[in-house]
Amino acid sequence: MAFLSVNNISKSFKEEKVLQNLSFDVKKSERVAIIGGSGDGKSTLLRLIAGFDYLDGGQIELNGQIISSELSHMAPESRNIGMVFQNYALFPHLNVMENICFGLGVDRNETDVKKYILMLGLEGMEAKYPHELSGGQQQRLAIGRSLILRPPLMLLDEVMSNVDVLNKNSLIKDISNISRELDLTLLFVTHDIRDAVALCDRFLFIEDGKLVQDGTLNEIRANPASDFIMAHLNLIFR
Amino acid sequence: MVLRASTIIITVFLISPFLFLFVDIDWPFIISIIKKHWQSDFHWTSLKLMALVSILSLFWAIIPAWLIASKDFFGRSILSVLHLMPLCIPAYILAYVYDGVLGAYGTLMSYTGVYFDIKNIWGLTFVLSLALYPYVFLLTKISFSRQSYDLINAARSLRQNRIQRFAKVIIPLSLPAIIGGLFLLNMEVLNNFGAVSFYGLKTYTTEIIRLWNPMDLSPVKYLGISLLLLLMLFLILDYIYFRNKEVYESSGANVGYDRNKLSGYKNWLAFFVCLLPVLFALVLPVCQLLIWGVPLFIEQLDSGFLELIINTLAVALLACFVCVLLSLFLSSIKHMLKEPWIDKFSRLWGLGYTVPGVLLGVGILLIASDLSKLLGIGLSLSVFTLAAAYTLRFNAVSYNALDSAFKKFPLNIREASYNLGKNKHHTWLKVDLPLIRPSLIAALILVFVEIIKELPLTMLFHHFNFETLAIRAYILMETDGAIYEASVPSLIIIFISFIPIWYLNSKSQ
Repeated sequence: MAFLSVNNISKSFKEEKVLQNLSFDVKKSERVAIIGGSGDGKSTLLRLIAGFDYLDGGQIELNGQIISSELSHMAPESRNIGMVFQNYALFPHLNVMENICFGLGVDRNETDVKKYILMLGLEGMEAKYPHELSGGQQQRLAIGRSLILRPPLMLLDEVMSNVDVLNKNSLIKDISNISRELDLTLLFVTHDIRDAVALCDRFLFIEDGKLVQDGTLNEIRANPASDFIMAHLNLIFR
Repeated sequence: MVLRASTIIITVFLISPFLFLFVDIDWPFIISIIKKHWQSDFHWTSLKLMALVSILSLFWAIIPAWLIASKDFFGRSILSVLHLMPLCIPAYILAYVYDGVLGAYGTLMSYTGVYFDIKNIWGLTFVLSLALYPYVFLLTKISFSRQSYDLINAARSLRQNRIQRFAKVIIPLSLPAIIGGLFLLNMEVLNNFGAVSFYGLKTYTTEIIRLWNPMDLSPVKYLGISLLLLLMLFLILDYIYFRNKEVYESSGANVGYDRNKLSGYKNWLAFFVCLLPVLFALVLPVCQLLIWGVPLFIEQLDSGFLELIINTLAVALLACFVCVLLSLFLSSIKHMLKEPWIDKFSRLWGLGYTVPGVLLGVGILLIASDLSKLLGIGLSLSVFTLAAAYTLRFNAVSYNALDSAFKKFPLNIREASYNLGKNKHHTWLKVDLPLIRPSLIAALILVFVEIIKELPLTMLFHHFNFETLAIRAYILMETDGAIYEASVPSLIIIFISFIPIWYLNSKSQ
């Protein structure tokens, strides 16, 4: 049974159709990359899954429960889906510790908090504010803040786009290890196939709001469905 | 060289009233006087009033500001403008209108037989909060509308409900703006003379005006120093709280709410919540003033009244042009030369507006008194001293308007002009000046409106035979049985202020 099921969803903003009849399933613990160009609807797709926007048509199910459809919409805070934003969206008025513990109640487990701070390499920075951290540290904080709530599904929206190459490699390694350790299901939106290959096992290509191809790297390489996908593959298999 | 020297001279001119407060000071004596002041009634009434007006103003301002910034509902656009309009009504006018409506023998009593004695700290809190809440509303609304909705969405994905998001993200992110609005509001509370004295309370300003005597300046000087030290205490606390929290407002993508449309009862609830402060601060008082004033208009509009209007307009226009020219010079120098020391100096250019007017008045009187002795002419109470006082106080208003216009210049536009062979003066004339023209007009209007309404400074410096609309309104409202007559100058003040503010708002929208 699919853990996340996206069925025939559509979304328009004013007259512009951003997503058109998009469908796919994701299994538990799968790491799926959503690849597309700018304006192709990748981030809109994540926002719909997270519940920040409303569907025009179709439905989304998580663990067998309908979380979005034309008729019903579960609030984002009730979905138990973690999301890491492209610009990190760290709370500037809170320090590292307060950002990490933001979603936890007063009965939080301090040992658990310390474990995550250590795991993300943020020890000694607990009292610092986001603007005092480097880009890589900010990114780790954004990931840690979501992970500490142990969501079964994590959405990563272009999280590598503001990180330099050296930090990117270590970050990918960390996300990969953590997701295995916590048995997370990942949906990773990116415009760069190289980042996707380093982190994911399955790839969805979106062009103009439509799903063009879905498969493993070998499957896609064997039969690329468009010039856009071909151009992406050339970046890896030159 | 000339430009730099002029900048230094103007800066010294702008801060001179504060420097003069500290000339010839006997510090041990001053400390004992300050101790006495800080234990007195007027000190505690000032503090109590500031706290109470702040709380009630937050009630009027925060929820409407958030609704207008983040939701779409019936009447949103017009309410957004109407929330600024109470700024056109000086607090002293609102004070006597509410006393005339709710007090003994007032409108309410004539219909129902019931009246409320509002001439106390609670009534004054109600009136001042209605007159001044737009300061908090305006800054908070701007801050709310610049918040990143990614942050709100992040809070949602971290399982925070509506109330938690409001309390833990939306309000803390706008705290600097709320504090900034409250700071301006409290300076106006401290500066208020008309409403406070009409309701029979004592604050720093009423004490300074009571003890005002150009022949003996010591009492007001000591009061001024006490007040300045109190303000410095607030500024230090503000600095301590915010020193590490530099990046508050979001920049970059996803700034501003995607206003969702409210429907059903939520639509009407939002409308009424936003209408309530406008009803009390604007609609009700203006209607009452019209009922009182319209029948008396023809009777009062004689040659003496015309002279009053001319006096008001003349002194306002004189000070307003001086203010704007000064600000134009200062902001142009700052952005043209881009030298770090000028940038540091520029923080002093707004000092006159960030402190209560009477404090500035005390400093100006000290200077005028010394100059009078030096030149052998009476300068202390003259139209020119009054115009200088207005300039020193309201220069900040015009400077801020022009400074923000300069900050919005397209990147490298001045460099493009230099690159095309034009020198700095030519560039200023052909590039800078046309680009800031709308802000220049806005600055003129804002300063003009402020001066028309200003009472404490006008009370301090007007000559006995020189009256303005504000003084006439105040004298009439203080005169027993002349409350209806006071509505005529009051209505003219509101009308003169209303038109330009409405014009500016429609332009900015």
